[in-house]
Amino acid sequence: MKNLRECIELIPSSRIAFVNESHQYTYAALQELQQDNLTILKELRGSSIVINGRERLEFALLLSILDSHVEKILFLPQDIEKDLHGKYYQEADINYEVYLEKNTLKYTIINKHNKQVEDTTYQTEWIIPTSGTTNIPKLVSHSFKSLTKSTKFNIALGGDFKWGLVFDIYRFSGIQVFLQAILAGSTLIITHSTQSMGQILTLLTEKKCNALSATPSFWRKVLMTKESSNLQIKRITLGGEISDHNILHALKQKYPQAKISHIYASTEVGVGFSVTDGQEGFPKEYLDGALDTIKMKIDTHGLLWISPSDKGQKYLSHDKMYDSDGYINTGDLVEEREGRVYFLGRDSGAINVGGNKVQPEEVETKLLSSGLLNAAYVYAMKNPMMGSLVCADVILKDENRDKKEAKAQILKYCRENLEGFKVPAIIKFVKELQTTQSGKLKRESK
Amino acid sequence: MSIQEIIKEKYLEVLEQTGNELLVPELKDEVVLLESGLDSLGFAILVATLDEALEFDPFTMMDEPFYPSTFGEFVEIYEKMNPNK
Repeated sequence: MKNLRECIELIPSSRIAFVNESHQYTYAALQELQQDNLTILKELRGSSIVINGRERLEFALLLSILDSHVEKILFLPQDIEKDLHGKYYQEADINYEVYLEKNTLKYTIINKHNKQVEDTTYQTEWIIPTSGTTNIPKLVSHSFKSLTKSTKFNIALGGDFKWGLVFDIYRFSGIQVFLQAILAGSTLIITHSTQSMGQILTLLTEKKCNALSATPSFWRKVLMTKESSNLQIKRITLGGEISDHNILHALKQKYPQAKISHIYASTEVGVGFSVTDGQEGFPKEYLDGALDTIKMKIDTHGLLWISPSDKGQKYLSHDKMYDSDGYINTGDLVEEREGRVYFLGRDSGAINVGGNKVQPEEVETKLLSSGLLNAAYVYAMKNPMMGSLVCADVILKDENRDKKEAKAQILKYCRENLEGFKVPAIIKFVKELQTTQSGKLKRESK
Repeated sequence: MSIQEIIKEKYLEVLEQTGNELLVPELKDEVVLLESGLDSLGFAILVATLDEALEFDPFTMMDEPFYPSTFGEFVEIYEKMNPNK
């Protein structure tokens, strides 16, 4: 399959493609939506368009009808600063902003296009911003091919799956869920970014969600709710952050019927690989060429580099993405131990405590393995003597516990299991932790 | 509680938190800080902990850097710089 349109045409038309709390669209409805808007689609043919912060359902519809008609589609999430819009429009050479009004495709002109238009199907470029956790998001251009190279789909089987979308659909992780659902003719249950965890889980339960892909932070929040018991999950995917033993184990216990996998992916690399053995990290064999779609290497600093076999993706800004051997620096630090490779954290996120580097993720994993906490967030606090100190905001499993006693117990556990400079200097008990639109822990230094 | 008493309490807490022991029989004014058992990381944690408890950090408020050598001097800085006195 070359594009979304071809793929949608193959699906039994009565199946439901998208559903949220008030609307639903069958695969037939998607084809009708395209037919009804053909005149405008022809006007837009060959141009570069932007979908700017529209609702997730509207985005899913727009993408489904516009793919293969236009040259480029820029995904502009709500959380991107307005100041950057101009820069991005220029980089992507945007002509129109599109939206739907009562199922009618509309557009506003940004920079009218007067390119020579061919009456053919376009290999539309999907332009996706990186998550930009630590810096300004970069635009990465993908093709349908580069995005779907590792998506396994089976239309006969796909009818049994209802995927919940809790990731931001404008980002790589959300698009993966979207494609996973639509390529197999499954249903995508679309939540809002503004909904509370309770509302999200109620919607997912009501619509009989049985497959869910989310960050470990999101899953920890799920497990802290009563509603989590109502989910009948067959397939669980974790991605976007490090999946530690605790969350994998907790999910296995809560949903024993579910097939659990954690995925390594990034906007630049695409989907790297998935791990299905229920253990954290990944087998060392993956480094030695056991995978078809990518090659990996670890450099002397412990950074993971990945070479995707398909190199369709590139930065729109023409920044260099690959080294001379075709590898992409993932920015993720890894460590090999006893035949397994473990993730330590983001290279850019290290906390400098008096010259010693601390990966917040390592401390978070250790805090969680104490068994006393539901969630933990570790960050740097500026300090005149040491440069920075390690601080932790934590959520106690038993919130009625004596805080002083709990703190002493947590610190004792950390001291026994971490080097001194990695032990949190300050521990704060909180009721919840902030996550980004993509469901990752919001990281900032204080 | 006086500032001195709060500092004493937090000092002992941080000492325990960092897995150190008091190397002097008693925390008196003339005790030399670097010989008291707390290392430099411990001091940084103590200052951050006191910042939480007292809501000020005299070391970031000082115009000229000053490094106390005894426990008495350390307490004095807090008393002198206390914005709430």
